[in-house]
Amino acid sequence: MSTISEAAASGSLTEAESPVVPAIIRGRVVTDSLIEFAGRGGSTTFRTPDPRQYARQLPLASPAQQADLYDLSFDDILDYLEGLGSRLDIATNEHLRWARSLTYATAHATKPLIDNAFRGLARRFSRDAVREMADCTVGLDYLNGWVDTPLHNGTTVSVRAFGARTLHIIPGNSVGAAAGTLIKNAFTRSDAIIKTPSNNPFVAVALGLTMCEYAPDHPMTRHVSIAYWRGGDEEVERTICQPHNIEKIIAWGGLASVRHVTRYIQPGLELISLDPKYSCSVIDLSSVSSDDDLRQVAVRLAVDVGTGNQEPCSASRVAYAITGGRPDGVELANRLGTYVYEELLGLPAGLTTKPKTYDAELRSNVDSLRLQEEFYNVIGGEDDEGAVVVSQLPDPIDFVGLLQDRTVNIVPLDSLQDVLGYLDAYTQTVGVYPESLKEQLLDVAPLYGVQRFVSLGYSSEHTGRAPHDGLELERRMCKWIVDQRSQPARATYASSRPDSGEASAEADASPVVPQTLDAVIAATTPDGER
Amino acid sequence: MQEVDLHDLLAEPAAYFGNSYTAMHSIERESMLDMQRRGLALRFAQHVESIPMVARLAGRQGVTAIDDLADVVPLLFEHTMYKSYPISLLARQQFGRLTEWIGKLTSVPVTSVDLTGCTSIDQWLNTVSAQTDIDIFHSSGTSGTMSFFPWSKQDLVRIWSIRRMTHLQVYGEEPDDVLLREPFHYIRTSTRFDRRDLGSEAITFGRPGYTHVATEQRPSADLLWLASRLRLAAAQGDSSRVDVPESLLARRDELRRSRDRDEDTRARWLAEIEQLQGQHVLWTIMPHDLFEIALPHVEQSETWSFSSRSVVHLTGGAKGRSLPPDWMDTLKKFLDVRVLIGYSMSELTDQQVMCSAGRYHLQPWVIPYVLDPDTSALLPRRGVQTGRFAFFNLMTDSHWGGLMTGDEVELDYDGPCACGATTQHLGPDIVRLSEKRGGDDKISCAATPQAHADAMQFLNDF
Repeated sequence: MSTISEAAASGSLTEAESPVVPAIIRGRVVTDSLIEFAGRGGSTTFRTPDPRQYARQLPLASPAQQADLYDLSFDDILDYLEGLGSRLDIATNEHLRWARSLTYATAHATKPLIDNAFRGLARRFSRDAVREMADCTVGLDYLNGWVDTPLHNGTTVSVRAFGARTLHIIPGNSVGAAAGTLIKNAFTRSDAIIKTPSNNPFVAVALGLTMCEYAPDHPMTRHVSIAYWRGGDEEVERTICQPHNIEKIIAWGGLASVRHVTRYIQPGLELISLDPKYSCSVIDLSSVSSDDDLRQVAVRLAVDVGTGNQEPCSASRVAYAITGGRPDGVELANRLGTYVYEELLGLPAGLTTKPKTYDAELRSNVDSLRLQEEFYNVIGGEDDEGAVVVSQLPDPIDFVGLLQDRTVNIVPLDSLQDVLGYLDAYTQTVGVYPESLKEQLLDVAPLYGVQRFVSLGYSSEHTGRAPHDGLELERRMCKWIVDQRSQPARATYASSRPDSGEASAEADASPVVPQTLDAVIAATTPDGER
Repeated sequence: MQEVDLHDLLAEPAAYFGNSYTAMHSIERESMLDMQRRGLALRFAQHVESIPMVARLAGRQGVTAIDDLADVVPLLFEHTMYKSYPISLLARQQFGRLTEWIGKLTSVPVTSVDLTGCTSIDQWLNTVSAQTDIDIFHSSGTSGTMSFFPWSKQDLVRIWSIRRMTHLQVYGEEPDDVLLREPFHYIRTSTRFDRRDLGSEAITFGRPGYTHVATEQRPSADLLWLASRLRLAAAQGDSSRVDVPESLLARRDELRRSRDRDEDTRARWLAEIEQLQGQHVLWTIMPHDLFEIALPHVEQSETWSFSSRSVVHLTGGAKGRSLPPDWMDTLKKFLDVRVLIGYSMSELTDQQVMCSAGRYHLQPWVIPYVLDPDTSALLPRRGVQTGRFAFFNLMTDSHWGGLMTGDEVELDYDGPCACGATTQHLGPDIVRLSEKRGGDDKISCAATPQAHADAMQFLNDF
């Protein structure tokens, strides 16, 4: 095992080819016993310590060792995160610069988008942001102490959210995913093993390296392990995924990431699966009267399609345009398509750019449609810059799942009712225009599976202050512990009570016997005294 | 250089080579390339006039003539072309529009087809087949979309005459009377792709009792479609929302019954095959299916022996399933017969088969191209190239022969093959580009086709 400075001095942390990705184990940086993971399908090749050799060191040896997290006040936690955040300036943090240069090389995102994402890391750690996030998602009272609720029968229920030992399988399509995981792990006073994805094993490690330099012995640092192993490596996963090591697994990416770990799910080990999602837009064109209005819709839709080059799950892939049966409905949708295409090309570079590469399978499909003029109007896409496909019939294209690299399908539909048929449990976000249309969607679309509504143009603003994918992730990260208090009257002993006898013939008519000590008190207390 | 008579070759390719696979694959390289150049110019001239979609693409790309083999690359169809119709045409039973759509992809006129009373996919396929010269082949729809591919009867007859040679003969051995004139038992899993059963005609010469199909009847396209849409609805979390007509939904029980029936028929089929031992058979089957059949017999140390001329022809990709590394040993323990491995797809059915040197040989009239997998730009047409496989098949008259596949191949343009054949050849490892692109262990919060396919696969296996 070497120190960070040794590793850095050897140049291994900054090598451009087959980079060394250290493992972070509870404040220690591990860079020995390196083995290479060959990249495939756009993933990079990198060397990392052999996960089989140190898998046993990743989990917390005993759950009782989380006690040190409870010696920390919430302010201590905020202090730690704020201090860490102040070290995440991309201009000065060598680890982030290392991760960024490797992300340039390996991510599908382009340089301006990656730069922007790295610039945005530090502010996530600010005091106010973390406090608000913790309060909105879990509740500060529950995180920092016991919350009493007096019940009508005199019992008091007291609840506290405790941290849990959790394996996080994080996604690689977002630079912020690792930061979000670290922050949530901190404010829930949890213990994390972060399994990094092959499509970006760098960012989490860069954050981990910064933590090790900043406060290697701080409980917040000591309760984080970060490592890469190939998903499905039975030797590693069998070692880690045991109820004596972890209590929860949080898996992004759905079946692909959980396929291998589901075999370890057993009593005492909970799986929280965040399924892969796509998002769409619902636009009422029936009320659009001027060209200016249509352009307003277009720029909003372009933002929801283009943000992060359509890589986030919240990016819009299909826009359902309700025409209300207008005779010029399809023509209007075509005009909207032309404007959206124009806007896509004119959006700011930190928001969207021409994609680094255009998905070949998508191009194959779009090019086929280009010739089907009766059914589809394909706008743009000949320079791999992104495209708008306007359906001329009221149907989405059949390769919606392939839509990416700034390619959107606009589908003219007569009514809102027609839209509902296309919403399902895969639908995370629906961007709506105008705002008044939401009233007709809010209480209905969730029944079809929709999980989030936004005003058109804001689909990728994830506040982190609300439920995600229809579930309260931060609350589920916690173990919810109950203290129940009753103060009954003094009870008599068995020997001092008259014989209660066997159940009477009219058992159905007897009063309910409380399932607590109250049963004894009730049996010996005259009715009038209760 | 001996000039190939293009007219004779395209009219009767098997006869042109004296019904000899060896002669076909010993064609002089220079003659072959010259034939390909002339053939390509001819096909372009014919089809730019007769196939509307070729005219449209040529117009968009500004191509007016083909002089060189590379000139056709901008006019190759994407492999998604044959499913590029809006899916709702099926749900809304708009077979008129579907006919117009397929009419743009074939040189055979279909506009006059009378579709009165046509309310199902099967009826549509039957009607088009009955009233025109084309049969429409369809895919299983397991991916969620059903592709439709037009073939004329003349094309199919030609293809089958080639297939008989390709499947039964061995390169380097001239065919004798048995191979040329005797009927072979033809064993198949299904007849879905062969509406007029022309394949059986070519192999069995129409001899009764010589065709052995695992499923009793041709699977209904409607039921395949229904099964696919039911799975899709389940994957989307609401089994009540299936976008098929009510009349088709009402056949849900039929789907279940046909599955049960298939089980029984399959057992009878295997018993029938066992009785064919010692006779001439051609058994076309997917490796996985045969492996499943072989395994219990191998465990019982049972071997099935057919005549020395018999062939087991393995075709079709892995379709998401994996085989143990020693699968071929298991097959060979079970079957005492020559095993032939073929590479084909619904758009290239005239079979490229693996030679003794382990290479797939392209038929002389199949012009290969290797494209950059990301940009689909043509890689140099020389030496050994690896990339996206595209081809122009001169042998088809009823549809455009140019297609970009979804496969990655290694192609040797120039080098000779150790087996002695003179034709161009592909390496043995052919992979789906989409599988390659998926990559390993890449986790994303955004839904991808892979995630969707995984979910569908899960439901299929459940």
